[in-house]
Amino acid sequence: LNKKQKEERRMDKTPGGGKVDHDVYIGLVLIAFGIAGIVNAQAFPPAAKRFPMLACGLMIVLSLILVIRGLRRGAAIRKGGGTIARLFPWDTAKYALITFLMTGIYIALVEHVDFFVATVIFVPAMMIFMRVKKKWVIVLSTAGITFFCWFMFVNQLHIRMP
Amino acid sequence: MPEIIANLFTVDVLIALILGVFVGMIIGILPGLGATMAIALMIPMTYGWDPTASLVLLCSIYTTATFGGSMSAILLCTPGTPSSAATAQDGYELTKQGRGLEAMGISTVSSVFGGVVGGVALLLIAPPLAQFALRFSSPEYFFIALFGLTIIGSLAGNDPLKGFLSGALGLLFCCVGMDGNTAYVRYAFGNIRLYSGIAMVPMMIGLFSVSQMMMQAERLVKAGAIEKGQVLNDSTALGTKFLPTFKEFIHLLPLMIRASVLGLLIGILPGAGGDIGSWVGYNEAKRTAKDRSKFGHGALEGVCGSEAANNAVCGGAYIPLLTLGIPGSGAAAVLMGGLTLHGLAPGSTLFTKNANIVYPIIIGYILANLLMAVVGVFACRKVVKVAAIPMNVITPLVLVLAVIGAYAINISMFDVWVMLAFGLLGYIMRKADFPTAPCVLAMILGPMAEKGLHASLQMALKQNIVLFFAGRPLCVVFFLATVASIVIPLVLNRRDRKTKEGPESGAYTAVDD
Repeated sequence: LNKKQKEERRMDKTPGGGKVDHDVYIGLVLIAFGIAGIVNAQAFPPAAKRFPMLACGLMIVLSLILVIRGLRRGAAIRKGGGTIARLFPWDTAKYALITFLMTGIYIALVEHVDFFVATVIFVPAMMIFMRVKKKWVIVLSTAGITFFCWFMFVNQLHIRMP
Repeated sequence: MPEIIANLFTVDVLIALILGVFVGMIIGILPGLGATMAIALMIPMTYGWDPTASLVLLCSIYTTATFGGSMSAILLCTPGTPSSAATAQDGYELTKQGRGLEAMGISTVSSVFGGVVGGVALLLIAPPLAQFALRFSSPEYFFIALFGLTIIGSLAGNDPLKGFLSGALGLLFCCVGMDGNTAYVRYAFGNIRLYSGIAMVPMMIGLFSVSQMMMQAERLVKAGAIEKGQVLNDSTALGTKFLPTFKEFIHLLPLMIRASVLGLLIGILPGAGGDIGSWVGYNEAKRTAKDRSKFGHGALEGVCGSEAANNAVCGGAYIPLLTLGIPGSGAAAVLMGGLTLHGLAPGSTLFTKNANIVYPIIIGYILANLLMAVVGVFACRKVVKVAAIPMNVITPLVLVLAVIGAYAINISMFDVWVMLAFGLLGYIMRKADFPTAPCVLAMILGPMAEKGLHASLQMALKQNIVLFFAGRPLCVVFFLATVASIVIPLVLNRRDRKTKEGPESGAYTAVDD
């Protein structure tokens, strides 16, 4: 098996294992969210709580339907001897999570250091993570986006940068 | 008439026209910078200008920024303006299928068509239409918002339940901040930055762009492209076809007309801008399509409907602005500042005493839409090359633009964090097959619905609210339209399922992530 086939085989295995449909978990989280919204709204004046209560109530009812549907779906799949695919298989989800974390670090740098300094660090780091091999692409892209942001937002639109 | 033509074809006005088209398009393409901001930024530039040239510039920016927003929506799934969010639904899918250039061609033609319809309507039927809009009061707005929310059903794809849940989440998000009716602060948890609510643009950038980039990172891994540094999309993969053929144009013409008229009517209604108009246009395209299964997976009609409507909204928004002094959208409200700056008072005198100024502005607006077609044809071919850049190069650049776009709208780092949080939420929603568009739509329409409901209850006093609504013919019309909008798709879907799939099609046949 070559590297790609090994990787595919490993990824094929990742979905297996679940017995409960992920809609059940999502529905329960949304119900909790809706209840928290209603509890919080009790402190609002009557006119201000009408609409949030309506939105929370709607969300709880719809989430209940989602939970029931998810339970039925899970039961049907279990009956057929199958398993439910994982919602976030680590093999792929980790790349999305790293992208998210790197963006978070970038925003923190923008806030506490400087937008342009942060951009000059973030763009090459992100490109290296995304396996961009050509150095000139990394250098040109970083220089290009930094200049563009300065020209458009600072020079032309006079926006005060963080 | 000769005076109007002489006022229009001056060097100043023509320069303003060209400048407005270019500035509007560039600002529209940039995520986070919408027409409202562009107009606000350009108003100080026009202090010393001739009123006609100034207002031609500002009006041109409004329509071209709306069109420009569609380019980034189609190519990067990053709506440049809120009114392009509906375009991203099918536009980006078309780009992924290698038909990005074609989508941009349809967007150009539809935007120009919608813009010209809006301009001609502004020229011909402004006063009578503005009078009709005066009949709309809070109860009618409540039902308009309710009618708008029924669009969620058609945005939800194969799972209306998840679509409505996404909408409910949006309704809850729009409750955050100071209540417009009672000034009571809700769900801010002591955070002063949440007093004004969750900012729409950062939320949209997060839900659409950041989540999309996170999905891209996953997709690149799955395709093994990151390991190889592979170019996933090249310029040839975007296709070479740009403008629709005459036959295709004729096929799309009825939709363009319907979407433009709807956009025009929405533009006339104060408070309902291009963001609502584009969804209504999109829904109209889906409602009347023969094959509705294509929507959300790359339907040209989806791009056509939303783009024709959101550009027609611009013309519609000027009608109550110029005739009654009531801005039909946020951008029109800023434009009103431009009018007063140059000593022009909205109202009937504008069309009599200042006819030599206002008519050149309206004709200039129509010309801006036509010029937009010329610029669009050249710009699209250049801008489309963005999609030739490998995804692993473009992802960091889009994230930088997302950050600066979210920041620039209110000069607030808090908004950038909001964008990131919604990026994560959008990613989870996408993974769990929850459509993100209904959440955005509900956030747009929620405040209108709440304000309308609150005012209706106050207006009804001790009268039964149902009887109060029943006593207002326009409310009854919108209520029937709302019911029809919910029931008809359900009946049609049921009929389609029965005829196409047969009785054996189960709901729980497959589960995948």
